[in-house]
Amino acid sequence: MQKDDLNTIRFAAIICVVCSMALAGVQGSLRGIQERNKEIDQQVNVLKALSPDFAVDGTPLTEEQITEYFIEGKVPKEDIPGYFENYVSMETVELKKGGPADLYVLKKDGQVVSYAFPAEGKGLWSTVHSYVGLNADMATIRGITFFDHGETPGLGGECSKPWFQANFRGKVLWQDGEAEKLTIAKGNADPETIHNVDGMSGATITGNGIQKFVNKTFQAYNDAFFQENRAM
Amino acid sequence: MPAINKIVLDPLSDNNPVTVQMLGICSALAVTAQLPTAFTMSLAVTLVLCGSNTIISMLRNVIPPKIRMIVQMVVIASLVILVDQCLKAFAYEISKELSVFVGLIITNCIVMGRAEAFAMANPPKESFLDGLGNGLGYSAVLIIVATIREILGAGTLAGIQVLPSSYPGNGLMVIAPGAFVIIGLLIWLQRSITKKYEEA
Repeated sequence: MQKDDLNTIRFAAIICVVCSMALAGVQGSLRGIQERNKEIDQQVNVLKALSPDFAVDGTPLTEEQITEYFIEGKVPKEDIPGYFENYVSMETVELKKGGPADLYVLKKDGQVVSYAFPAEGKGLWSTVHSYVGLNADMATIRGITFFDHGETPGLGGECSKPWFQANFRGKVLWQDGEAEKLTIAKGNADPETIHNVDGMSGATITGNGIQKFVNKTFQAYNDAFFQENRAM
Repeated sequence: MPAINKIVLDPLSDNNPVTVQMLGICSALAVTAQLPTAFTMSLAVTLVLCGSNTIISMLRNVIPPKIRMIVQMVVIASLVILVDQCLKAFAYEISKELSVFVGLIITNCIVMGRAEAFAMANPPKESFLDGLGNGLGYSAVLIIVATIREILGAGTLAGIQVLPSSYPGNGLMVIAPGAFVIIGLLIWLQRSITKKYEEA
């Protein structure tokens, strides 16, 4: 073997080792923070569904505080895990299809305030992840959140914006022993109905996807849990 | 050797990597729907460019010629992963929106192009400045495009409402073809001011 071939191999080996050591070091030292970010993000989303105004302890947050929490991502985000552990408990529901699934329950003074369950399904380009929060009546939407999706920014991507998620609040999924299918309108919702939601313009397919997976997941949780626990 | 201020200032307009050399167009389309993502992306590319140019320039006399491009790639990829990890740790919300585009800085032709064309032949200080200049040139285009797209597309700037909220938003501006139009107009504007064209 020629001398410069040996040099080439030696150089390649050194640069590979140096780069991988450096990256391993960085990754190792940042992993803790990254995992905490993910955990906080997930808890924020569960809380958005359970109680969009964070009104568990009686005093709702002001609009500015909510903006700080959710939109600008400013601390007091650090308080969220504490908030989460103090008020939220997680139960497991045995779905008929798909096995055990999470159900988050928000309680205040031992009384259930709201329930939230994860739901996900296809939008136009990507899987949209969501948490759906219901009031203690297990029928009215208290809050909803869409996140971690790859929809077109400005069109279907608007589903992760507060204005769209606010459209779902107070909509009824269950009445008089029957499911009320949630529908997402093209444009403005019909004010006569209780389950028609203002849609996003230019994002019909994302809307249809959301409509489909929210209804389907609600149905599954309803059969497994809400049905038999509902008071009326 | 070119004068120091020319190294930094040249890529801002006369030799801009995006509008003149037509490099880095993909990310200029993808991350410019809103100002904050464009700004973060600009910062990331500038950091990577400065870092990779400096490191490669320091190694330029010991890199075996046969594997020089692979070595450049390893250095660039390591720096990009580093930036990506830092964003995930310290700017989680923005890193979620940028998603794969930070990783794709590895394939941004500007970075590799400057390493091969400049850093392999010049000392570290000049190479650092060349990286800085090209990074700023790229950033300038991204920020101009993002400003126009966000205002016309959503009526906001960095999330703050600037047009009356009755403004319906222009759907073309929020998708990639809108960025094509803006970049095209920008190139036209720039060339009609500087009067520099390439003979076709």
